[in-house]
Amino acid sequence: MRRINPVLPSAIINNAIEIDFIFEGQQFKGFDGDTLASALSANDVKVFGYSYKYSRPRGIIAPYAEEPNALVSLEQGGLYTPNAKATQVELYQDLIASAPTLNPNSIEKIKPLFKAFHRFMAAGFYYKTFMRPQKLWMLYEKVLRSFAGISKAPVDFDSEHYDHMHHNCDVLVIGGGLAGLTAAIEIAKTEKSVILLDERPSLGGTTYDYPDEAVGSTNQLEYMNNIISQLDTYPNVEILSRTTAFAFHDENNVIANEMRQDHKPLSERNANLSRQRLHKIKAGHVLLATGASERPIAFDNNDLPGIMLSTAGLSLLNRFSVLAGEQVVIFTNNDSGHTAANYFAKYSQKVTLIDTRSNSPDVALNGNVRLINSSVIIKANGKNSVSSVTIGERDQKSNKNVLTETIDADLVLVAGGFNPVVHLDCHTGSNPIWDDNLVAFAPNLSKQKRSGTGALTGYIYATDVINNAKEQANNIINNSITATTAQKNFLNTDKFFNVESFGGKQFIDMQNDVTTSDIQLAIRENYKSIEHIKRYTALGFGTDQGKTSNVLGVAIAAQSQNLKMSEVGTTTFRPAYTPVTFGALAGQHINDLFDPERYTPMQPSHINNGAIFETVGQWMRPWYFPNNGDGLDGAVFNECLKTRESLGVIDASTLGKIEIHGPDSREFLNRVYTNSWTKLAVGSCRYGLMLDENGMIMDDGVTACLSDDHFIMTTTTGGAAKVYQWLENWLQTEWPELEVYLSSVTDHFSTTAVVGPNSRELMLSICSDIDFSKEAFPFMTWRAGTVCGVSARVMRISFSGELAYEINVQSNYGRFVWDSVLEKGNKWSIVQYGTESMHVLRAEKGYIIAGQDTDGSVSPIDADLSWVVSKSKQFSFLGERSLSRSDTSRVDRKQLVGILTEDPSEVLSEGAQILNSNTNSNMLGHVTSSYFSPTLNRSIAMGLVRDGLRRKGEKIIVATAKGKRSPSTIESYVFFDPDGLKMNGNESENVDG
Amino acid sequence: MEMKVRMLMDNLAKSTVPVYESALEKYNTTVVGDLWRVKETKKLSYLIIRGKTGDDDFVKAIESLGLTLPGPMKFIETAERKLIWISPDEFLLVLGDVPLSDFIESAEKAFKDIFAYIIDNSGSFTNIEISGSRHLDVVAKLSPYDYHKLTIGSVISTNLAKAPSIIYRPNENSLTILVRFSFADYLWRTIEKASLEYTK
Repeated sequence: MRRINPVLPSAIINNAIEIDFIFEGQQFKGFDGDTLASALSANDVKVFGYSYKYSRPRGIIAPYAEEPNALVSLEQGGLYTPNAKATQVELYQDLIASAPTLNPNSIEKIKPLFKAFHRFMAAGFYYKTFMRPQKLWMLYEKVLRSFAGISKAPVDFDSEHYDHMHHNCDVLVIGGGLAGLTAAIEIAKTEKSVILLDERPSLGGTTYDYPDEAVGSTNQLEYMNNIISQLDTYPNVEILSRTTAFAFHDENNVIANEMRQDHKPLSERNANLSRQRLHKIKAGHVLLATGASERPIAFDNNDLPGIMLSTAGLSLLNRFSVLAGEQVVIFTNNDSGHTAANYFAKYSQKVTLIDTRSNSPDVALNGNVRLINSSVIIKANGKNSVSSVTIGERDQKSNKNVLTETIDADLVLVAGGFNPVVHLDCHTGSNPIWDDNLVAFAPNLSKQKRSGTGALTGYIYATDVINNAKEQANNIINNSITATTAQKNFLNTDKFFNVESFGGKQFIDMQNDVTTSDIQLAIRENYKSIEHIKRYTALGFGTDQGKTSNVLGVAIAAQSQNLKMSEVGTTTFRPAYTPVTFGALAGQHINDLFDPERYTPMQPSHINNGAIFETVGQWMRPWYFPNNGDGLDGAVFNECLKTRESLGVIDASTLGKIEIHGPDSREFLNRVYTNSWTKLAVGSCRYGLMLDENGMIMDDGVTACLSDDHFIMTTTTGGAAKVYQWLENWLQTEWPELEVYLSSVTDHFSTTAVVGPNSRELMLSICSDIDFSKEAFPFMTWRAGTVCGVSARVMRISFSGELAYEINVQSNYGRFVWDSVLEKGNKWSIVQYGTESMHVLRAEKGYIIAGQDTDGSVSPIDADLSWVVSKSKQFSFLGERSLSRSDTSRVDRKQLVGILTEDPSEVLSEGAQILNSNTNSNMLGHVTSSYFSPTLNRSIAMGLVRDGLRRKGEKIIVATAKGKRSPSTIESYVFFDPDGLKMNGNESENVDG
Repeated sequence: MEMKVRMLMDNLAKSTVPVYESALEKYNTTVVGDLWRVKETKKLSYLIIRGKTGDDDFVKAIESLGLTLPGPMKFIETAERKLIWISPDEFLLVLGDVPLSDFIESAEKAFKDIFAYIIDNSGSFTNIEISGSRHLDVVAKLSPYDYHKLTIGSVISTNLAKAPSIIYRPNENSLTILVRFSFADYLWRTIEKASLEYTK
């Protein structure tokens, strides 16, 4: 193989710019515009790796994305890229590439030792051999994986970044070849917005590979360049090169990946630009112009380096000015082989064309080409690359071949016909249709607002392509889509897929080392469906997804079973068309941007004060403050004790807050909550329990009456959005007669909750316009005033059992109030606490957390909250009816109880199973909440226990995952201050306001 | 230019007067690049107005406040008052330099005998304006909506990345984003990342 000088005019390389690169540790030179494959080929590198199963030397066989063999790893560390196809890798200065199977230390080197066993390694070999004993599979797998012949997975974090971009356009054209370009410019003239995608670095598709083809008085390359320069003048056209449409979803949503920086030298990559960009395109109409890819013909030893598809040879020659051989044998079953022969006849010393057909084709042949009709290549000969081919004459009737001669060859081009690239069309559920006219699977194109053009639909020659593209463009413009498949034979293709074997290996799928005989064996073993054949032999798996092999496999399966191609059909085409790196799929939504972190206004102070955060819903809430003690346990111990002894403060801004307005607000509350709201006085608050239709606890919270037609409801932090939707749903669809408006004001308010016996003293020091006396401001009421100079609504409610006030101010002043409270609170040794202490304090008092102590199967009766359920409301409340169902009203349901361990120092695991103490088995339930209570100086727990309310005082066993059994007793779950004295500031007031 | 985080006052309690902070207080929120610009506007008031557009009394009450009800997905700006359509019976009023309590009082008076309400939601929103030749590319990275179709005077509610946002176009060259206080930091960092390539 050598570079032709001067460089051919059709070539896209610039030999004025030399590029140094390293392959397998060896320094090479290429030119600007080269791919890794073309540059290595110009350097006469033929072997790109060793095969997956049999460790046979392999070279490139395909021109671009179809390549099964030449997988390479690029760069190192955070820039490492596995399994790139050398045919697609654009060369850049100082590129470092390696072939995983060429590595001197590679296991591939020992694979030839297994050669004696190759005859036993037929289809299903791994399934048959390594299934027993099952225990050893993990070991087998480890060894087998190292044999697989593909790049190692990256281990370092990706040092580049990715993003997504959304587009909306009238027409999306996929494919920037002659067809796509011609259609795009026709549509562009109408001012419709057009996006054109092309996977290669330069537009033009395969026009570079067949530059001489005439279009009127010019050739297709000039014609194409003219269109490209015109397209630039249309502002309504966006062209995305290096962009592969890899997924086609319903409603014309197409996903494409753009390689933005992979082609740049590392030193020139811009850290501000994403490496790759995922484009999500919503198109009014999609025109597929994805072309066709060549398929091989199978013959013995057809995997020797130096044997490639004719399109691969032409691409090297005309696009990269690389002559891949001097003694060229072209093996064809269609007219394209003749075209290839004519191009090679201009540069190679000797060109022999072997045509399976007996008749003369449409293409005039160069006089230097020796044409042998009605013949086949029976086998290729050579060690590390092809040196000759043995040919035979084909008996058209018997399909037997008579060996005729051996011809020296350093390059064998195989032209086995073309497969339309139907992949994308199939992603939305269409199967391709075998077309005997085309001798190929044609796209279905049956979905609305979609059409195809060019080689995809059977048009190959430039004039036909241009005419068809214009017609399809006009159809789109006129909104009159018609059937689009060409009616004539694709290049007079002979329906010939494989030569009768001469005893050697005929490779169908090079990446997975699947041979003709493997497919035949699979069928003999009753794996007859093409989907089963695929799984049994691995045909069509891998990074190339069988682009060169699938149709051949279908043909062998059809022959073996005496079926038609259409009866065998294809396997399912799924996204992605070509591999996409996970980084591109994730885009910019990674690390701290993966899920929104919602902050309260106090967040900066929490950080300043050293809080450790936990995520609740999407909110970042202080979990505990390490400065308060030693580790989590130490901090929580101090936070709880100091709060109970004097004064604590917690950021409660995350609770959901919904304003309820309207004359029917009370009635609305009556319906969504279990208790009655008819008489709640203005200025008062009440605890409410919300049930779902099944009568199970869904959420809870305190609602305050601001005026007769105005309430504010609080929800749990995690339940806010769900509750708001739930309420709107009922209001809008079931009770539209109620005059009620709901408005979410969660973010408007920040809430600073001051808790503990000294909270009243603190409030008096920061608010002078509210009377905090117990008579004027009793438990479960609210008052408006000015706190720290900020207009505030203060609620006297408690989630700890302590005297407590919640200060609600506009979020923008939240941090000021928080900091001021901390400052003023120093006088009472104020302690800020997080969610962990909040949980301990509430559990000591027996307050449930909806979602922790309940799980969607707990009714208010189960939770021992019957006191919240009103049975005398005129209109039913949500879930009421379900409470009377026989199963819901059963008295022996799992019910929420308190649990005390015999050993007071032992803290049970949440989720631990509760067992009957007599039998030490019979699961009764599980632990829902468990803490060490600093106040009580012992562990406390809550749990759901079958018939628990009647078991109070009973002994149980709590079993943990590690087999430990903890003797415990069922108790009331109000462990602390059952009379509510502290909550009332040691005043005897009614707990239920 | 830099979009770095600046130090916040350690302890706001040192101040003798109430300190107002936006959700983006720690960022330099006036960023000017060649291809895009971003600016936060603070201290605006946001009021939810609920009422039935088919109710003539409601329409009159709105007019008595010097406002005009916008049609679906539109907003109407008069002086320092911008009334934004949110849903068929919900509007968001953005007030500039107008005394809030006075306005709420007059609205409550105007709505006294009708099924209509005004709700102060001023703490909920962060107001970010993005502009510049590439501002549409920034939003296109974060949301599938076709922003070319968001004409002057139009508004949509959608997600920018994963943050619920209200987005409207006040003029040809810019978009205004209203995002909830709690999501603002996330959205800011998201926009910052999305605009990285347009800042230099």
